[in-house]
Amino acid sequence: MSSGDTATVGGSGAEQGFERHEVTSATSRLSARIAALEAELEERRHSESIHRALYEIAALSAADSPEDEHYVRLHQIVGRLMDARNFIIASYDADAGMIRQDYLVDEDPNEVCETFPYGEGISSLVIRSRKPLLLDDPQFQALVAAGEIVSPKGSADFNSWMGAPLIAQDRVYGLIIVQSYSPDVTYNLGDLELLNYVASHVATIVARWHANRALKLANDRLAASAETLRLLGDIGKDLTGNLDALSICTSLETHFAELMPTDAFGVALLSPSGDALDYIYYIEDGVVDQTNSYPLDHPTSLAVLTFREDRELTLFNSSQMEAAPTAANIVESRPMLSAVFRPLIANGRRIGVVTVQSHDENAYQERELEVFRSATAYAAIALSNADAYASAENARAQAATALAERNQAEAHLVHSEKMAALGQLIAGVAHEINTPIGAIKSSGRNISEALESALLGLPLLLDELDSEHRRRFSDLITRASQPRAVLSTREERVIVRDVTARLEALDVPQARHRAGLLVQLQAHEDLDGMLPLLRHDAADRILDTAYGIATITTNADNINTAVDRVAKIIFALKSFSRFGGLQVWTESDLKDGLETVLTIYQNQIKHGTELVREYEDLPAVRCLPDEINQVWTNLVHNALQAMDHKGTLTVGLRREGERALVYVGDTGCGIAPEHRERIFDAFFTTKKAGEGTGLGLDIVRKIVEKHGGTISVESEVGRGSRFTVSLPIAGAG
Amino acid sequence: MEKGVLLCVDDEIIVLTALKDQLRRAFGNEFVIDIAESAEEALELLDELSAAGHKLLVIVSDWLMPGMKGDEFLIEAHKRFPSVVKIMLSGQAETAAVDRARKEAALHDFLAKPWNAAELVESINQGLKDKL
Repeated sequence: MSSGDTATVGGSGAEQGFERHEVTSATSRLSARIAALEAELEERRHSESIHRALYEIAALSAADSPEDEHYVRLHQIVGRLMDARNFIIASYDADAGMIRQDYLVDEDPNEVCETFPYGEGISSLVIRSRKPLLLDDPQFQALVAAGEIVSPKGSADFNSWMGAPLIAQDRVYGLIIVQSYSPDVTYNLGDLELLNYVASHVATIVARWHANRALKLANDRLAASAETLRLLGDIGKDLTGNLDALSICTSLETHFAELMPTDAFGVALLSPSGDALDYIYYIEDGVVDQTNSYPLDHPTSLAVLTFREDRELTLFNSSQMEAAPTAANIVESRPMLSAVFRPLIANGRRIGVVTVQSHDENAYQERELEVFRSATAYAAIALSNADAYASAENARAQAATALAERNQAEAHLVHSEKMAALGQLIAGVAHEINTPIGAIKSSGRNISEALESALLGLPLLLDELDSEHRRRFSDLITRASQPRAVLSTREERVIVRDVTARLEALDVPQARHRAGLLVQLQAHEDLDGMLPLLRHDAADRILDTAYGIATITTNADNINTAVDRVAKIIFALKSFSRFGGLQVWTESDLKDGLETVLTIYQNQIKHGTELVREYEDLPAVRCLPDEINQVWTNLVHNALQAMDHKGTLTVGLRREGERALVYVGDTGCGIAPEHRERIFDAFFTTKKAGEGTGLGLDIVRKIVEKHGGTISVESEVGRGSRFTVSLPIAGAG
Repeated sequence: MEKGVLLCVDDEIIVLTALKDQLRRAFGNEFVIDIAESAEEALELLDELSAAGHKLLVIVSDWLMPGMKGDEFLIEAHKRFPSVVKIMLSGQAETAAVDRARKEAALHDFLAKPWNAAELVESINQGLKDKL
């Protein structure tokens, strides 16, 4: 509009009627324009407030999850756009088929948030149709009549009602509702359009919240299952690292108590006899009982039922619990309302049952059950291991006892073997002593009698002899007292025969008798010197007296020899019978040991055995003499037995480098080839029961090995056997 | 006529030494005392003595000796010289062997070692008296 128009207006008073008409139309034009402007302004304001509302709604998306304040903000925003005194935001869970009112503000104080099944109400209709809905009472009635909705009250309680679905990414998340009870406020389609517009933006936010919530839930679940896994790992480690059944039970109980209600807990294992379940551990409200046992045909025991049917048993209420077992020694404070029983299975074998129980109903949800199942599996393995360990321990202990008993029995047998051998020997050896003792006794008597007669006869005889004969007599006594050459009776007899012939040639009377005496007196080599005595009148008395005196010497020598024999036998017996005394490694002459054994066996050897000694000179060998002598004893004993004491026993000593070889051979029955491998085994014997324990050669082998030696045998059936022991001269090691 | 012979048989020279002197003192004036270290040697000796015209009167024999045992020897001697007085002097003799000698060799006496000289002399005298 230009400033000229204003001037025109001021100068047109003459044409008033025309002007009035013009003024009127201008006014109405103006007011139309103003109205248009106002409308435009209003629209712009409205649009602005809508934009502002949308902006504010978008701002809410910063939040991860819906809080009350967010709903309040939404309510305020919508309230600025329309009358929203009564406002509801509800969410729809398609999976559960439920509609939940998350936010509700209502003039009626009785109205509160509700959750109800998706179904036949108007909220459900909005969700189902995915379209905004504007209703007044007649329209509501029409829908009811058309069967679109069901109204329990039969009529609407509102004046005007609007609902808009929250749809994002083609999914209905819920709906927004505004309604009015007052006749003053009736919504129109514009309001509905606006509400729907706002709802579409809210839906985006709700979708995001929803996604966030799902993500968080997934995260939480993940965290929870990670935690469960960790706990199960701990339980597994705890249980399977344990080999004591009772501490496995208490450990399992401790873990269960951390993870789930555990008012009662029990582990029952199949009894060793396999016909009952024994509660090795049962605890209820802190009281422990370990005495309960249920036969596998028990009619009401739930543990037995679980075991028998080989399945998990879950009971979540009191009626199911009535048949549950209670420990006889535990007075129940309150009834158990939940219980789980599960078989313990290890290596495919049912070994028992575990139970956990609670005073609360529904105490065990999926997560608890998961934990319970996994932990039970661990417990089964652990208990099975514990059982195996206990068996192994038991077996080990038994084996140790058996070994100790065997060692003892073996030692006893070794001792018996030795004592039996000794017993056999002792009789013969005792007799062996009788021989030298008889000789000693007789020789002693011979000496005393010879002394007596010599002392009585000598002075008289000497009186009768002249100096020449006295000298010859003295010479005879001297010869008789000389140490004598050892002659066999056969050799002596040859000499006596010779001397007899010479005496007969010299015409000496009683030639044979006197020849015998002269040989005894060692005077036969100087027969000529003796002749004057032999031709003397008192020749007989001269010879008898000289012989009497010689007797003293020979019998004294005989006593010494006999005493040496006794001493040797006693020494052999002493060395032989020493048993189990302190064993000392000693440098020992093997020949002495062999001779000791041969002395002991001399009596048996005499029964018809020819003894051949093949001794080479050997240095002393470092050994345990008593044990080594036991080896010779066994070998000599076996050799004599093998040839029934008839044949040749060869005992030899030989040096081979740094080793001493000792061999004992017989000309007996030999050893069958199939037995040769086994003769050194304990208890192997071909002897009749009672003749030998079969330990002899086993002991021999052990002793030889202890000395770092070896033993071998050569044998030919029917020809004999030869055992050779090779010992390091320096001793073992 | 040579003197009668009294023969001692034992594998132990100490026994023979003691016996020889003991018996010589008791019987030396009447008999020749001879000794042998084994049954085999004794049997040879018996033949020699017999050939030499000696009259064998008494045998005192051990039982356990290498080779031929006393009972076997006495039985053999008995076959050749049934009238000889046979005495067994042993530290150990199996009862069966002694019984056999009693039956098959007309064993006069059995004496255990260690023996008593007086008993032995008495037994020999008794045996000789029985033969007369």
